[in-house]
Amino acid sequence: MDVGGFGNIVAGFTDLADQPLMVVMLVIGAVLIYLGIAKKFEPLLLIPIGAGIMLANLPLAELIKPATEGEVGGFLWYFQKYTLSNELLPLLVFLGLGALTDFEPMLSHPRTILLGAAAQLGVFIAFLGTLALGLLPVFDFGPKEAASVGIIGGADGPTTIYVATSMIQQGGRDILGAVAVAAYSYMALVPIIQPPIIRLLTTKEERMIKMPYTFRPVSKRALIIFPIASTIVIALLVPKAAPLIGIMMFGNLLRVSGVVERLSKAAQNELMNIVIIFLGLSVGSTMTAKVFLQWETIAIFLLGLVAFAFSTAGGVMLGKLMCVLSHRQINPMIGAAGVSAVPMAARVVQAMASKEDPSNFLIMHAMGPNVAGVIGTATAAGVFLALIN
Amino acid sequence: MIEDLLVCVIGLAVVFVVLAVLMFVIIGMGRLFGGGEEGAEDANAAVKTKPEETKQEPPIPEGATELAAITLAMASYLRQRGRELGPYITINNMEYQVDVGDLHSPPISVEVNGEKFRASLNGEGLPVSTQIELNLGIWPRDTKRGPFWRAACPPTQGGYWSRGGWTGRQAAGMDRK
Repeated sequence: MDVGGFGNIVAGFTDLADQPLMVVMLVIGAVLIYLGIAKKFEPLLLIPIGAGIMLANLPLAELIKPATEGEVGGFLWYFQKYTLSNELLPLLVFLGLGALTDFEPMLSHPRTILLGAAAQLGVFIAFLGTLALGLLPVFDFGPKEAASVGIIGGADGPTTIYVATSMIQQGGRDILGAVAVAAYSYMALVPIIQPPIIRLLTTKEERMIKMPYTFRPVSKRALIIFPIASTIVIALLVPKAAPLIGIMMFGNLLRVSGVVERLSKAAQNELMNIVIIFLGLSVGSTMTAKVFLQWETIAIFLLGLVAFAFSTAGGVMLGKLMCVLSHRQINPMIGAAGVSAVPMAARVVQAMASKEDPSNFLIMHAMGPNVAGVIGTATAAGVFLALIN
Repeated sequence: MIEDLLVCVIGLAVVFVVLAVLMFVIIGMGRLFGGGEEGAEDANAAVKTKPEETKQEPPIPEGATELAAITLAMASYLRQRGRELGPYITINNMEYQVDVGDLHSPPISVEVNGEKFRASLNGEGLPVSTQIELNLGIWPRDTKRGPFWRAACPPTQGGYWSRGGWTGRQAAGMDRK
């Protein structure tokens, strides 16, 4: 009998004792799974991410072990290598999002599109904030990390992952796990974060402004031409945003064309679900104790909150301006829906409007800036990718 | 740091420019192709020339139509009591997001979880009024009462109900001549 074989049996315990921070990561993974299941905070993403964290932080790190010559790597390493490191998964999520998104509210009331641009203010404020923190010796943040953190303010998970992954490929630090979890956590917390900011920036009279909704049907031809035209326009103005916008608009074209329902449904359901499983596990598996448990992670979470708050404020402030210019025809609250958490942000606006006046319905007006925000965030991502090298 | 500030200013400006251009593109498309009804007419005209290519719209699930009917009924009921239907209704513990357009102007748009329906009553809107209950209680005792029930259908809608049946401009067909 080989006595040394006993060492292999207890190797897991030995490894855990050597790296006690792994326990902290296991707890973090469990907390995310708990939040997803018990509190229903973005369960589709937080449960796979939590599971990914737990799997990656098991003793001996077998599942994220890189492949070497003659030795097979861990399966999570293959997930990271073949899907995450080449930006494939966030783009496939965008395909599904495009197939799920109804641009009709935006197309029927185009004047509110600009609110989706104003709600990107937080992206750039957080970018500057991250760079300012980078001046402190404790934090090692450069422009690439700042771009990854800033984009959290767009409230768009796939775009955040896309930018963070691209920045890593360009030589930035691996903060993918932290920014992804921060983005999805704050997206789940939109109903808690946004109302105080909206209340702070608007008066009761402004919140009670009614916007009668006149149903303006959009012709099918316009619905079909929009995704094609917007892809061309954005690709011309911000070529780096073309992958995100192009794939999203392709998904939307599948939806509105009406002749490829099978493909549209597949993009919305089967493909989206499969991709979310891979994406969640892969992102979670990047969060090892060594990478995640740093002061910078706390800073990223705080900066993400700042980004979210300023994005909401930016939308509301432009909403106030439009309210004045339109002689109180526009309720400034709909500006807060410019962050691209669809449809959560629009629902928050509706809930606040109903609270002030139960007969006030803003949801259809809020959906326009909400979907415009998705385009705005993708454009901001393209700007970062173009300007930061 | 100035360079980074420039990134922010240029970045935000680009986002505004892109969405502004999109806004003008959408407005332009709206003018070019018009609304859905115009679009539908154009499509029909195209179909007439090629009847073999006629393809029916996919049928709307029966359940969705029933939901739209329930939504419309609820909206009408609430409107008659001076209230508005909220953005959500719950049936069998299932929450549906609903939106009902102007009940008076046909066709009434009813939206259930993004599925759009157009409802009308023989081409008319619903003859509902919030005035009924208000009128019932405000007659002073000595007031010579007229047939206040005539107000059940406001004259602005082209007619009203009396013991003799539907009367008014619409019944007489005067508004069409």
